[in-house]
Amino acid sequence: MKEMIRYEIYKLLHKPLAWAGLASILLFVGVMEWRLVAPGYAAIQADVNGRRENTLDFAAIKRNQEIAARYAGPLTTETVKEILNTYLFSEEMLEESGLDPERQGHYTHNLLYDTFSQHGFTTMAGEWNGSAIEDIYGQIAPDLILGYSAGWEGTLYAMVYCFLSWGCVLVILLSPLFCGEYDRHMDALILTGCQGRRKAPLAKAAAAFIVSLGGSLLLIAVFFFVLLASHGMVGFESSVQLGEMGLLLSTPYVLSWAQAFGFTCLLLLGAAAVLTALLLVVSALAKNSFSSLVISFVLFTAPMFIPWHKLPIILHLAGSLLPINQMQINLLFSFDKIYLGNWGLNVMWLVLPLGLTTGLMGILWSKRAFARHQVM
Amino acid sequence: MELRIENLTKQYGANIAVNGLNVTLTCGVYGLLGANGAGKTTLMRLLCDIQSPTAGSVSYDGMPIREMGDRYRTLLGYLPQDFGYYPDFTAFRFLMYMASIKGLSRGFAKDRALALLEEVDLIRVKDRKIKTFSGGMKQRLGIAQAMLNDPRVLILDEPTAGLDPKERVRFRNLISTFSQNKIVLLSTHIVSDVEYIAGTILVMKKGKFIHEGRPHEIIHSIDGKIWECMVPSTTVPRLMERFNIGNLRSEGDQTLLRIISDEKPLESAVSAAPNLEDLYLYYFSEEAPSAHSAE
Repeated sequence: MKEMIRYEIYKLLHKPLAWAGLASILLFVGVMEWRLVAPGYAAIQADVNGRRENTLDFAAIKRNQEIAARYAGPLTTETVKEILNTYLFSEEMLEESGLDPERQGHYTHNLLYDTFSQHGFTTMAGEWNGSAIEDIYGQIAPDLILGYSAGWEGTLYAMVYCFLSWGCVLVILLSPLFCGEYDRHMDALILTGCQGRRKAPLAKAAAAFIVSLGGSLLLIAVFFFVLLASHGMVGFESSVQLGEMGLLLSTPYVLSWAQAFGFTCLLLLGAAAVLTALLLVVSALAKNSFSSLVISFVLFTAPMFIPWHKLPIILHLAGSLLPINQMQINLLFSFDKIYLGNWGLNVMWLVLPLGLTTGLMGILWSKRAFARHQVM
Repeated sequence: MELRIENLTKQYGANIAVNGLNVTLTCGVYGLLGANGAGKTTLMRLLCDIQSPTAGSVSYDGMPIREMGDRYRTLLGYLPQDFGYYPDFTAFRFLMYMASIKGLSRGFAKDRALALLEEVDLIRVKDRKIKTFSGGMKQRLGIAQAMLNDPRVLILDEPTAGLDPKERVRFRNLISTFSQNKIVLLSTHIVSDVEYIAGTILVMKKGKFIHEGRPHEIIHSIDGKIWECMVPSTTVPRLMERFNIGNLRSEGDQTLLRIISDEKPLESAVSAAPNLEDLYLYYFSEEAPSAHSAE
């Protein structure tokens, strides 16, 4: 069996299209990491004695972490007000830099200032507009923890983009898994072998999951390593609602970035598993590689365009658990916990039984379909 | 050991590819002869259980092959007409892969693969990629994979296609050696291959067997229908339109014609001993004026 799995992995990866797909994803990961994480969008404009001082890239990361450390801890309206007042540009600096005072709220200051400005705590002129934290963050506001978030949020953003692309690469790699044998007329030889209807399709399924989950784990490891190298673990305990880009702003319960990273990994691995199961079945049932590729792409991408949030809650949840929506993470993060008495279940955990069930069903159905395939 | 085919039928929509076949195959080499579309490939796929019959059954030693499942496939070797392969696999890797599909242990598979590569004269190119092989080399590799598991039932669909005469002789000798205590069924359009190695010939037309027997037996069924005559070369085009010509040999301004006809075609024609090619042309030259069915 191990031998057969090795051959199947060899067949999957030893194709020009596979190499092109893998090279593309690596390039995309590099671009996203550079664009969003290391150094990402880190930039600081500071008012130093009436003069503008810019700090960029890794120096800006360090400076932002220092500023965040000063205010780290439970979020209060007073803290927000203090941050906005402390880092407001002086008139002298604005005039010297040629910046419009009426639009100061739109200019880059530093991570914390920009976060609260983006979230609606400032006027156009950049001053505190009197909003309390409860006005912006709701009932959970007093439980939120402020800290450095850029590294974590940028990493999760990059992971979302990259995994959406990885999903497309998986479609290209795995959609011809079974039907490629039909195209090459290898189905007749495989199905007349004594392992052709049992171990051979199982080996194919195993190879598919090894490639998809193994590749996903590798990507996650790369993201985590780059995060550690460029930002460290700083801010892991701070709340996800306080990210500048607002990726997880709509999460209705308190969640730290470390927890969010863990759940994101769960979602991305679960999405890869469900997608692989889907590709196994489509590949076994399709008549040829081209139709398998087209059907697979449609099934993978179409759910992205459906307005699930307008549908009844059960359908909303079901739609959010589809692979492409799992990969976009914010849909599932916006669901409240499922409460049974005082005990609340985070809906992200549904990904585990879903991934296992669909994975098993995908293996069994594809095996059955391949074993019953009529050679033409 | 026997492979029994009972009332085997395969229908695709309105087209009946295999029509109620009944035959029992025992040890030996069987040649399956028929024109394109006769149903040979469909029959072979049914015998390999890679297509489901519309009616009827195939049994091995009394047990339906569908029920035997993997046990039957352990005994089976198959070379399809469209031999599939992985272009980037080397010949050796391909055989090792097929050996794993056939459930052979790694050690045994390695020895067997090397021995078969030697047998089909591919040992020197065993580490070359299959995409670099000629058509004949690929065909020889296909034969080798069919024999990997030393099958009791070997089914070969057009095994000599693409082989040169030397390779075809080598193949015939290989099959003759192999076929002791085995059932070998091979289909071909190259009549001479079947004539030399097949102990029994099955002639198939429109999904049915129209003849079954030893070569000399079925050849005698067209005794008195083969004629030879010498004619002026200028008359050959006109005669070709009138008669089913099996062979013509130019000898200066005269041409020796071999004509297949139920009746004496020309005054100067003399009766000749038939061969298997004549039988093939007698039954399968649909466009000839004297095309016949066995009925």
